[in-house]
Amino acid sequence: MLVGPDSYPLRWGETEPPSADLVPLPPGLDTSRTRPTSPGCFKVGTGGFWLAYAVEDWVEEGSLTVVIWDEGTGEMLGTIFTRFGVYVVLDEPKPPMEPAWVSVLNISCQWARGESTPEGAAALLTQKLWENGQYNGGYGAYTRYFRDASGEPIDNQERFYLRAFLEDPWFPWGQCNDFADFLVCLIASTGVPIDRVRRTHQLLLTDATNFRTNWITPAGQTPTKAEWTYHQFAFTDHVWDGSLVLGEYGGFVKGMNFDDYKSRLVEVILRCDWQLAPPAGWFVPEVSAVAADQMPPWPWAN
Amino acid sequence: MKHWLFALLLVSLGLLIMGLGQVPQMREWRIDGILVRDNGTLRSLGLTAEDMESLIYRIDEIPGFECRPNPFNDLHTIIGLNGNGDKPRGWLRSHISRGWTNVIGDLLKVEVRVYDKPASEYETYHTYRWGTQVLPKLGSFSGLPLGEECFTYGQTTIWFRQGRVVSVVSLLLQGRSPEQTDSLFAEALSWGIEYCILQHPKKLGMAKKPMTVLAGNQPVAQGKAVTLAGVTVAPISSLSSAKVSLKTERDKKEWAVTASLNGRRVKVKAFSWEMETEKGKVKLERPVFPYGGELIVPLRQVAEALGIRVQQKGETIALLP
Repeated sequence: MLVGPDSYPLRWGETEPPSADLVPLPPGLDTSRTRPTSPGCFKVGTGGFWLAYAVEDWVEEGSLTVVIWDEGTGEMLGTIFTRFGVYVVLDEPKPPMEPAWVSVLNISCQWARGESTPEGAAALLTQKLWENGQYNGGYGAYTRYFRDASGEPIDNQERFYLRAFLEDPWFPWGQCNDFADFLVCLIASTGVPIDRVRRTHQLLLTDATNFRTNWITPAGQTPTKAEWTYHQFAFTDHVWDGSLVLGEYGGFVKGMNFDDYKSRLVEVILRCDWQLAPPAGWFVPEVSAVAADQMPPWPWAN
Repeated sequence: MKHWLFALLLVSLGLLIMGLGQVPQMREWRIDGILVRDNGTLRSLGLTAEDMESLIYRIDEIPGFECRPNPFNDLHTIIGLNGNGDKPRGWLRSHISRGWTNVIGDLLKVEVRVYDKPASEYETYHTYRWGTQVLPKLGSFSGLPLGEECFTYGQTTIWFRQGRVVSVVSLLLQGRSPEQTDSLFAEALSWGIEYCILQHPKKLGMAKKPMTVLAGNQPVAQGKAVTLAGVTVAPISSLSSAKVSLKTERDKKEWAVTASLNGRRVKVKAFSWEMETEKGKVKLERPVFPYGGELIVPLRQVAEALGIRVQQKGETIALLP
């Protein structure tokens, strides 16, 4: 930044092209240690600027040095130095992780390290979630449902309390809703556009289970056959499920065809067959930054 | 003089306005794996972090388990005070959630929530029938009536409600399927929490009266003897006044107390549903659990096994050696 007689604040509503703020470096400034970025010099009072630069895969931490220079007198007035984390992702993070949470990037960039394709990143994140996760047996944890004005449940919405989930002493811990929603956050944070989840059944007051599974291994548990009222998973035109593997270790659900997934997961329908839930077939979970102490009592968000 | 008074008035008014304009902020702090957050900027339950910790087991109170911070977030305990207390109305709740693990990798989690009103206004078996993947099952694993209402999920998660409080104990096993002992272990932890609720000085259990225990006509264990679903439990130390000698063995894996009187011997262990006597193992009506540094036992059963006669009249129990 330069401080001098030519410095001026922009007036309200005025815009400048990005290059307008860039001016020649003052003479005598040592820029030999500023790799890999190119040093730039900006006028003060322009309301901020973007610095964009490429980094190698192995770079995890960057630094920024700001030198404040008086153009008129040539005097250096001070320096500001800061360090910051560098997250290398495949593309700009996608909803519902737009902007991505640093606490999610910390995990997704670690778990998907080295992957260079969207499919590869999504598959590795699904596997790592299962390997690190603790499926709680299937009861409400960090998601809440919505009701309409008459008090009836709405199927095409769900609030996921991501901050509370991240702070759980057993993180990553929860039921299938939490795993599906968190997997969406992980994948979307790396720039891969997988943002949808699907349920096997509509929300109802539970009084009987709807299907029994084949042998599955829920995250953190031993192989079992479970009886469920519904199940929830991340869904594009394929299925991504980090809460279980089919059979034993190795049967990951990473981009599996929907019909294959159903036929391999379900042993027998006990009451209602799978249905489109919500009716549109998918919804994007709403992500909340509210902590566990501020989460409303089960099961409603509103 | 008038100007001076006017100036003083202006300064006072300014200070008052500044004071009124200051909105209290949510507070948050971390200590050794414990995260505490207080949202009580407008409303408060009047409970401190210590109050919440007294409703749950201490980090070293469960033999075989220890509190290790989660590697991802460095936390083993979350305490949320006055949730929703930044809004003028609606539910108000404080909670504590703590995770333990053992050498095998089993995970144990205990959560306790305290509300501003009877907890039945917020959480019931009925509300938990919405949107859960598995069916909750009414009742406890043992069949005993835990709290005012209780239900279970699977074989190792148990929920109960007592007064203004709700508790959930959950055990996740690594590499093995659950057995009945695991279910009863989770339930034993819950009975201990019900005792903590009834003992809480701020009447969270909705003012249940303690029992009076007399040994040699002298009151003992004052305030510490209560009935849990009809069975009186009390600290095992209350038997010392009846000339019972006690020997405690406590390490990281086991917490046991052996009580002896006139050649008879009874051994009880934390979170066990049995006592060991010379005649073999005897099933207990209520499990043994720790509280305040000692073990709480079903008083009549243990006393009678030591040869002590027990007489109960109303809210008074007399131990007659």
